[in-house]
Amino acid sequence: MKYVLLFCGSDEDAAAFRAMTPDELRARYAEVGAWFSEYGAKIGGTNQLQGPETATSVRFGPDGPPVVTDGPYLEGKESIGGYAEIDVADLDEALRMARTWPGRGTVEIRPVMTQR
Amino acid sequence: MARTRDGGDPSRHDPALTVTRDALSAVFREEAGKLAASVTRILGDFDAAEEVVQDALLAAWRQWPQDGVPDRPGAWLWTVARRRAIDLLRRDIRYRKRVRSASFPVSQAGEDDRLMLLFTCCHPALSREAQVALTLRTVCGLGTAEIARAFLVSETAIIQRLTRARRKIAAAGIPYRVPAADEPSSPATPRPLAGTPPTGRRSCCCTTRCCATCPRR
Repeated sequence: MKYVLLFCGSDEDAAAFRAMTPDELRARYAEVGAWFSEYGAKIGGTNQLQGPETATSVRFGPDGPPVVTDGPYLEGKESIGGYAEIDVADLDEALRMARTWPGRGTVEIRPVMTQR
Repeated sequence: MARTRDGGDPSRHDPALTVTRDALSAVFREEAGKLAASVTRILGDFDAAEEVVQDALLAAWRQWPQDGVPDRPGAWLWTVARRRAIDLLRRDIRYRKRVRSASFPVSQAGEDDRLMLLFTCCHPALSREAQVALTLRTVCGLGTAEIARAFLVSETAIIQRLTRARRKIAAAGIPYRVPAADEPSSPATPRPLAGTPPTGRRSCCCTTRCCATCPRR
């Protein structure tokens, strides 16, 4: 089954990340790199995203042209920092991957819509 | 075992039939979970399995008041359910491959299947409320009205809760199997339920004299 792992975090998570020393940051990226190589065979497209302050949203209302706004779709203190498409047997395998994610924050697991 | 002499409509309120009905309820309560687990293993589909189990129970409900409860009611129900499951598999093209690979045990399936079902119903990806409702419905064979009474909510709410849970099991790919001890869906550190007695007292958490360790006993 295909899923997308959404790597999410709160403002506090982001602040903790920014407060890391260069050495800590290197260590964290090494852990994340090791995670990606461990599960490389299961992972398809994946990207880290730039911060929510760089986001632009195009919102469609019930009628009229869409409205373009500065900022992310998700309002508030949480944002999505990256994603990875994975292809695994079932939710338990996806959970195993998510539980070992070294990037902290919250990992949301979403099954991908498939043609029946 | 009480039987109807006229073999008429089982929904009639015949005193002899009321006894039979109680007996049937007891058998259903005992067998429904095992049956649901075995059929889920064959079909790999919660909704379809439930339908098959309902069909088998309905067949028993119609036939047993006339013929008496069979010596091995579980085996009788399993035979009917298996036949119905095979019909479903044959009919649905998506299941054709599984017909070839599925194995159909001759005897009534054992405890392992129920354990598998229990783990699926209690998967951590389902809410605690959904876990309990689904387990009571599927493994214990309780009716939605009974579960609603226990939760002090409407039957509609329970039906919706069950439907959402079944949909999530199918859509999110929650597997039907017993996890290994170190797997994520294994409840490694069970959360205590509200009302758990403080440590030092005896360990049973209920208040209904349910077992030997119950503090109310």
